[in-house]
Amino acid sequence: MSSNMIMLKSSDGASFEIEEAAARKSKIIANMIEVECVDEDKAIPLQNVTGNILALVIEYCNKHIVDDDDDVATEEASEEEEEAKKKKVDDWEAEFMNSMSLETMFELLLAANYLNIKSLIDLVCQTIANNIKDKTPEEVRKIFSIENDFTPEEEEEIRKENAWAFG
Amino acid sequence: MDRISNLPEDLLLNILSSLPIKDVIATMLLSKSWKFLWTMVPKLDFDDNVHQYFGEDGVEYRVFQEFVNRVLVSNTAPVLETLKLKLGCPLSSTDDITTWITTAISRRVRELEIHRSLKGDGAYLFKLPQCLYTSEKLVVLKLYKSILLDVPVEVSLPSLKSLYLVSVIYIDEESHRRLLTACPVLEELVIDKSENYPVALSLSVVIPSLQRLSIVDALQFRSSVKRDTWYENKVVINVPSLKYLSYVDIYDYGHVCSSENMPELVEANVKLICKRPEELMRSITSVKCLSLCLYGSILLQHRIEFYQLVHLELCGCSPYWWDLYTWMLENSPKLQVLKLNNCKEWFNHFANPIFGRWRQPSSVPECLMCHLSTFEWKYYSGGREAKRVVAYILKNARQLKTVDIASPKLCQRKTKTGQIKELASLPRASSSCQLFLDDKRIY
Repeated sequence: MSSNMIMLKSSDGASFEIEEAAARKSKIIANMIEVECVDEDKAIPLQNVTGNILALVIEYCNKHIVDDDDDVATEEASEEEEEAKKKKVDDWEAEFMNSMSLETMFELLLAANYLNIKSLIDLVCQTIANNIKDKTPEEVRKIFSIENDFTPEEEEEIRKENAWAFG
Repeated sequence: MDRISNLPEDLLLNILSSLPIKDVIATMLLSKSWKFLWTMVPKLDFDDNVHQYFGEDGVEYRVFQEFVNRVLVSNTAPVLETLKLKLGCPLSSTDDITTWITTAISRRVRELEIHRSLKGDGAYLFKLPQCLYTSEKLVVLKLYKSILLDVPVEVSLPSLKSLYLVSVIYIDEESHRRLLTACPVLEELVIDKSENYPVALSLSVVIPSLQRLSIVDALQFRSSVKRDTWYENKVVINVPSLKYLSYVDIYDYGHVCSSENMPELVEANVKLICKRPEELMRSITSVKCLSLCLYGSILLQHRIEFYQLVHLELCGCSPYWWDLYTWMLENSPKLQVLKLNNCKEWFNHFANPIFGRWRQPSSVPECLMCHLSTFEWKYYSGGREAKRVVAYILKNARQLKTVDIASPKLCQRKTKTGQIKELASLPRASSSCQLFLDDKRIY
């Protein structure tokens, strides 16, 4: 595979070099490359993404370059090997998400959304969802600093109206 | 700072879509901005087996019933993407399923999945509402277990791309046939007959648009049954656009498969007990990656060239697998990777040792002279004939890079060092070849 490198520039001025194949995980960047608004030696400016978040995005993209190579014929990939490979990626993703704070997760989600990287959006959403799963509303509010703007009466009313939902 | 409540709505709905439904509903209590968000979630996944939530008691089923009704009626997503229902409770009835599916269809549902996990008693069989069979929007339909398919004459599923029929029951063969001919854009079809009663079901898959096909008849307990059961099912496969085929029938020895050429085929997994596998083999000659286990291989006499095959896994559990092995070597000129494995479908994970004398190819096959780079053999038994198989590869495969042989303890007859010495001293045509024995590099 030819390793065309392109440059990305974060909102706070940090530059990153990345393989084109990895950068193409972002639909936005892929589009830019398609319509040739990428100069050989000029960095693509990404106004909405800071350097520390862009570094995470690039780490993720580099790890997932191979995903797009679906050609079975050239690869000697049996089901077993595929499974092993998938498990490796899953483990990496779990570790990757584990290493960051909720705050960073939201930054990463917004960056993934801006850059339009579907698989990263889904990964972060799933991880955030795991923080909601099996928790009471009180616990969820606490984890995400959600302010309860219901009066106790209003909350009671909702619980009553939706008794079917709260078993 | 409250970051989550300020996310764009589509991201919030994405987060909620990956939660169990009870957690989704509970978010209405978080704050005012969350009060109605749950009604917009486009994916709904219900399971009546949430005992900790609804109680063990049969009476509690009504709570579940009410719950599903309310959530479905409240849903305001512009398009209902997915509805999944897992129903194991004996109390759930065809009436419930009719209400829920009808609601989903009127909400233009794209993906519908229904598990009915009760077995046996016909009284518990679900019938599906007729409106399901004429849904214009349905893209994915997955049906599991005790569901009775009574397909009307006017069936039409113009958008359906993916259809799973896993151990469901057909009121008659005509129902099955009608359903399969009513999907003009179908790309993926899974038919699993492993738990069907009665077993006999002839099958006709004639679908020009189909790209992935999986036919399975392999219930575990049946594999202890004698392997020469005769039902004489007739299977007709005519799928000219197919890219992936998985065909596993290790039950009905008498079944007759008639198939047409699949010129687009890339990957195939074929495990068959079959009187005449030849016609099927002829139709899959375009395949590039093949996993093969045949119980009728003794009947494969004529040459059938697999002119694009680069990756072959051959199972060592069928009788006379070594004849099939030689036959495949002779018929796969482009082969690069060759693996002798055992398939997962069987209980006995032992390779049959070669008895008699292994017949080596009459002349050195083209794949050995020009292409074969990897040879792998798990369950190597170390017997004389097995050693001949390895010796032949080493001696003739000029492009060989890796040979990987494992001999699980059960099969070891000689001491390991003896085996290593034996294999390591065999002459080899490729000087750059590496030999691994039980994952240890020998040279």
